[in-house]
Amino acid sequence: MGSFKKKDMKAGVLAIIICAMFISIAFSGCTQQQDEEKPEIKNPTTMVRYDIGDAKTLDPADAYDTGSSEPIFQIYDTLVTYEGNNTKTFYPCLATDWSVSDDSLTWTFNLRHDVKFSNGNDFTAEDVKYSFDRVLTMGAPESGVDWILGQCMDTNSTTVIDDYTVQIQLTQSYGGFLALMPYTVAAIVDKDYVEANGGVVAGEENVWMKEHPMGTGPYVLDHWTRATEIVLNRNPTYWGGWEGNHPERVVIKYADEPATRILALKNGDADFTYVPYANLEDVIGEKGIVVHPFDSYDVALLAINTKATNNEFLADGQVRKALSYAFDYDTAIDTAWNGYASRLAGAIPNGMPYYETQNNGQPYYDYDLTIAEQILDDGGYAKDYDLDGTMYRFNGTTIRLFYNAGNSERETMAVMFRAALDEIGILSSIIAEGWPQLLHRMYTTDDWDMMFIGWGPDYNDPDDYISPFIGSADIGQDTYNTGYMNATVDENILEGKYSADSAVRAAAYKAAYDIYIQEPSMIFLVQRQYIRPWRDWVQNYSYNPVREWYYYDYYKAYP
Amino acid sequence: MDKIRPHVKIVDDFLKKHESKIKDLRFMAHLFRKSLLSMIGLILILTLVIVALFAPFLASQHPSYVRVSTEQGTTVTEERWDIDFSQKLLPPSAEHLFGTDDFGRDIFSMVIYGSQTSFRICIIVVAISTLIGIILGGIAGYFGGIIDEVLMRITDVFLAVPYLILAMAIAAALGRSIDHIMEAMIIVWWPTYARLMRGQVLAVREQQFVEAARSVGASNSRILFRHIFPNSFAPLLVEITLDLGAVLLVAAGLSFIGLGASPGTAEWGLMISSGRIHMFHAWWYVTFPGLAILLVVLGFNLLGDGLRDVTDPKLRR
Amino acid sequence: MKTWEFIVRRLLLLIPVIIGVTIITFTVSHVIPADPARAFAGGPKAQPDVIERITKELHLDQPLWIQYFYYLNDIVHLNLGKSYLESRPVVDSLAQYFPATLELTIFSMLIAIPLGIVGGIVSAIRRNKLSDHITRIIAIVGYSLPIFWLALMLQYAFAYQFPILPLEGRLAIGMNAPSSITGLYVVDSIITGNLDTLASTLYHLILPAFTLGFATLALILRMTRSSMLEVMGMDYIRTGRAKGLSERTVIYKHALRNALIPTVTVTGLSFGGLLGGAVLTETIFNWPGMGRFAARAVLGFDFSAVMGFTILVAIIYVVANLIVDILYAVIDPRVKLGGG
Repeated sequence: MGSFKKKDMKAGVLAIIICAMFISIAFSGCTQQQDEEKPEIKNPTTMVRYDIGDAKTLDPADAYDTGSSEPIFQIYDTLVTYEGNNTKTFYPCLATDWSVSDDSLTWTFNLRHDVKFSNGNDFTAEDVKYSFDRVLTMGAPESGVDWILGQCMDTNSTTVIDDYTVQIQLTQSYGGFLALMPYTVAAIVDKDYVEANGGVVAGEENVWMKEHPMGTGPYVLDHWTRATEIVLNRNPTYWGGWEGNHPERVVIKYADEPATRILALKNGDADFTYVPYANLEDVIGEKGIVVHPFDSYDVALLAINTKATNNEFLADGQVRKALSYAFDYDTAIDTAWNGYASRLAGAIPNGMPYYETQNNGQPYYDYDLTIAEQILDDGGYAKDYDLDGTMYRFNGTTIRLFYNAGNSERETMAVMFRAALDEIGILSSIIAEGWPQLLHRMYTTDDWDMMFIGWGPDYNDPDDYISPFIGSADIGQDTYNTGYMNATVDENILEGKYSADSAVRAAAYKAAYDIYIQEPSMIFLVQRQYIRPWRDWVQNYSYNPVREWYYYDYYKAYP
Repeated sequence: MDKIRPHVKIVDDFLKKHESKIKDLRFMAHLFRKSLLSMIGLILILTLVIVALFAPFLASQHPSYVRVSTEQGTTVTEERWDIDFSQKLLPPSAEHLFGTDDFGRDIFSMVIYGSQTSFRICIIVVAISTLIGIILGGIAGYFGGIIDEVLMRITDVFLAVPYLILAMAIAAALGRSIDHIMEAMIIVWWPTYARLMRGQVLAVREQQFVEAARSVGASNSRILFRHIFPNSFAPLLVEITLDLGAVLLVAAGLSFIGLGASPGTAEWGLMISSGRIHMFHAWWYVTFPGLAILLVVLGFNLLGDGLRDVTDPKLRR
Repeated sequence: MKTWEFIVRRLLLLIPVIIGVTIITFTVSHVIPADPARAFAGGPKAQPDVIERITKELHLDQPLWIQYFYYLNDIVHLNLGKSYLESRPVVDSLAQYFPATLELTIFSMLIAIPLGIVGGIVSAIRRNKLSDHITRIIAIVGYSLPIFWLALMLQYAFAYQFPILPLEGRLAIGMNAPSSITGLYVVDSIITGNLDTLASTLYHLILPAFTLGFATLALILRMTRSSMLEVMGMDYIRTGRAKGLSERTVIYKHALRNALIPTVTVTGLSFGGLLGGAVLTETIFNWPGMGRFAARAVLGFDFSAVMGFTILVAIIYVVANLIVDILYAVIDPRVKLGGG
C-alpha cells in the first residue's frame, strides 16, 4: 500500500492543474493577445473567404441565391459586365460592342473572338442563343430565376446572325434590359457540353450542370464539398490572360458560427469574412484587419398586410401611417446594424437612378410617438381596452410581428418595435418562424400582420424595387402579397417600366411615390451597408452591389 | 421514537406502524450526511430553490409579464425586460455583477430569474413524465400479457431515438416556445419511467405480501396503489433526481439551437446562444449562464448519486 | 434460446419500432402548416404552374393517410424527400455527412473508453484517496457540463488564446479530401497512402472528439469505478486474495473482466447520447456531419431533412443497441437471452 502514496500526490497535483486550466480557460477572455509586426502573408496565391451558408447549385440557369452566384461569377462570363464598384457603366465581356434600334426593341451584340470554354470548345453565337433559350425553356424549376429574362424575352427573341453576332428582339420594351445581362442568369454555357450531359428538358433541372460547371471565366471548379468549401483553380486558357497579379486559387469556406469565422480572420486563415453587424467590434481596430463599409442596395422593410379580412385596423391607411412614425429608425441603425446602415426614403434605394423622385431623397417619416398617437386618436382608435391595468387600443388585438428565425438584425428590430408599440398602446407579439412557414402565411393562408423582410438587387434598375413593392397584384406585382392596390400608382409604375426615356420615368416614379407614401403598405426601415472585413494584405478589392465578388481582380501583397 | 413529541393518538399509531421504515430513513439520512459530495449537491439545489423563490428580492432588474394572444387563439404570458441600449455590453461591476447584455439588461438579474424558468421546466417535465410513466408502466407490469407487449413496443419506439434529436424534431414542428420544448421533452421522456416502473412492478408483484393481499380478495387497483406503487418508488427517486439535471441540459441545448425561449426571455441556454456571438468582446455573457447550468446540473447529479448510494442495499450495511 | 434465434427475433422486432418512428416523424412533419412546395419553387417569385407541379409530385393534395403510405413507400426505396436548404435529395446529404459523424463518434469513443476505463480502475483502487476524489469530481463535472459551452470554451482557449489546435473543419483549408472509399478520412488516407491528409485529419479530430467524448468519458469512468468496487468486494475476490494471489492478478483477471460488463452496456447506450451531442459539437467546430446538417435543417425549418435525419439516427441507434445486447450476451453467458 505504501507505494501508492507518491503516485497519489502526483495524481492529485495533476488534477489540480487540470482544474486550474479549466478555470483560466473560462476567464481567458479578459487577456489580450500579443501583437506582432506585420505577420507573414498566409497562402500568398490563394484567396480565402469565410462565409455562412453554402451554394445550392452551380448552374447559372437555375441559381438565385448569393451563395450560388458567387462561384458562378468566377467560373462563367456574361455578355456585358461591370468593373470595380461602378454600377452605371457597362463594360464589354463576351460582347465587345453593342447597339440598340431606335424603337428600343432590338439589341445587337458583336461577340469576342478566340474565346474558349475551359474544355477547349470555341465560344460562338450559338452558345449565346442556347444559353438564353435554355433558361426560358427549363423554366428554372428550383429557383424561379427565369422571370428576369422572361420579362422581355422568349425563345424566339435570340437569333444568330453569324458566328460572332447575335441579335435579341425583346417581346416588349424594357428600360432596364441591358442591366439584366450582367446577372448570372444570363451567363453563357457551352451548348455542346450541356447537350452531351442531359440537354434541356422543360420544367426539369439538369443535375449534371448543378455540380459540373463549364464556363469561359477565369476559374474552374476544383471541388465542391457541400457545407464545407468550394475550391476554384485558375483557368489557364482564360481569354483575359494571366499577366499581372491574380490569385491561382480561390477557396470559399463555409462556417455558420460567427466566432469561427472571426477567429479565422484574426489568425490569417481567412482573407475575407462575413461578420454580423453585432460582432464588428470584435474586428474593428484589430491589427491587420480592415473594416470598410460600402454602400449597397440591400434594404430592410417591414411589410404590412393591408387586407381587411386579416386585420381591420391595418387595413386603414391612417393606422399604417401612424405605424410609420412609431419605428425608431436611428436607434435601429445604431443597434441592429451597429451604425452601418442609413435611412431609406422609399422603395428605390440610394444610389440607383430616380432615387430623388422620392421626397427629394429624404425619408418621409421620422420617429415621433406623439404624432403617431395623434393620428391614432384622431382616427378614433382610442385607448379604451383595459388589460391588467394598462390601456390599449384596437380592443386589445395583438399585432403579430413575424420574421424568419435566425436573423438577428430582424430580431433586434422586432424587439425594439414591440417596445415602441407598447408605449403607444398597441399590443404586439414577436413570432419567429421558418421560411416555408412564413411563405405559407403570406401566400396561402394570408394569416400575418406584419413581417420583416429584406431585398437585394437582381440587377441595377429601380424597376426591380419599385414594381414588386408598390405595384399591385393587378399588374402582376405586390411580391409580398400585402394587398395594396392603387390604380393611379399602378399606371405610373407601368409607364416607368416600359419607357426608355429618363424624364418620363422620373415623372412617373415621383407621381407613384407621392400617392403611395401617404398610406404605405411598407415601412421603409433602412438601407444597409455592405461590410466584409478583410486582411490588410488584400489589394485591389472593391465592392460592386450587383456582382459582389470578383477574385480575378484582387491579389495579396503588402503595399 | 419517544422523542417524537405530539402525543396525538393518530400520529402515534402511524409512527408505530412504520417504525422500521422510519429507522431506515434515519439511517439513510445519516449516511447521506457523511458524504461530502452529496451534501454539496444538496446545498447547490437548496441554493437554486432559494434563488428561484426569492428572485424578486435578489435581482436588481425585474421583468414584466404581458399577456398576449397566440396563434392558436389562446393567451400566453410573455416575459418582457426593459431595454436600454446605453448600458449595452458592460463588463461585470458593482452595479452589474455579471455585466449587461446586448440590450442593456442586467445579466445577474436575468440569471436569477432564469432559475425560475429552469426550475419550472425541470419540475414540470419530470413530474408529468413520471406521472405518465408510472401509471402506464405500473399497469403494464402488473397486468402483463398483451398490454405489456404493446406498451413495450411503444416505449421501444420512443427510446429508439436519442432524446435531443426527437425533442428537436418535435419542437421544430410545434414552433419556438418554452412550452413547446417542455411538451416535446415530456413526450420523449415518459418511456424511461414507464420502463423503470414496469421493471420494478415485475419484481415486486411476485413477492409474498402481494400474494397475501390477493388471497384475501383485495381488488387489483387496491393492490396496485397500496402495495405495489409505494414499494417500487425508491429507485425512481434516484432516476428523477438525475433526470432533473439531464432535462435542464437538453432544454438548454434546444434553446441554444434556437428552439426554446423566445428572444428577450431570461433562459440560460438562450443567453448562451445570444452571447456566443459576443464571446470575444463580452465573455461574461456566455460564461455566467453556463456556470449556472453547470452548477445546477452538478447539484442534481451529486444529489442523485448520493441518494443512489444511500438507498443501494449492497453498499449500505 | 440460441444466439442466432435471439438475433433474428431482435431483427424482426426492429421493424415495428422503425415503423413507429416513421409514424412519429410523419405526424410531426405534417402538423405544421407550411408551404414546402412554394419554398422549393423559389419563394415569393415562384410561378403557379411550378408550385402545382411540385405539389402533385409531393402528393400534398392527397389526404393524410394516403400521404403516409407514399411516405413509407418512399422510405423503403431510400427516398427521404428533398432538402430544400441544399436543393438535393436528403439521402444524398445524409450519405455525404454520415461518415463524418461516424468518424467523429468513433474517435470520441476511442478517447473516452480507454481513458474512462483506466481512470475508473485507478479511482477504484485508490478509493477515497485524494486522487479518487479529484477524478470523481472531474468526472461528475464532465457530464454536468453543457456540451456546447465546453466546446466554446475549448475552442476559444486552444484555437485562439493558445493557438495550438485548428479552429474548425475536418481538413486544412483548401486541402482536397482523400479519395472516398469509406468516407472516413483516416481510413481513406491510410488506404491511399496519403500522409498529409492523414495528419491533417487527426489534427482536426482532437478538439471535437474530446469535447464530444468528455461526457461519455465521465460516465464510463464512474461506471467502471462503481462496478470495480462492487466486484472487488465480492466473495470470490476475497477468496482469491486470501489464497495469496497477487493484487495484480486479482484485479486484472477477475475484477476487471466482470466490471467490464456494465461498462459495455453503458458504452452502447452512450452511443445515442453521442449522436445527440454531435449536433451541438459539430455546429461549433463546423464539422460537416449529420449533426450540423440536422441543426441547420431545424433552424431552416427544412422538415424533410429533419425527419430523414431522425429516421436514420433511430435505425442506427436500434442496430447499435442490438449489437451491444449481443456482445453483452456473449461476454456474460450467465445472461438469459431473450428474457424479460
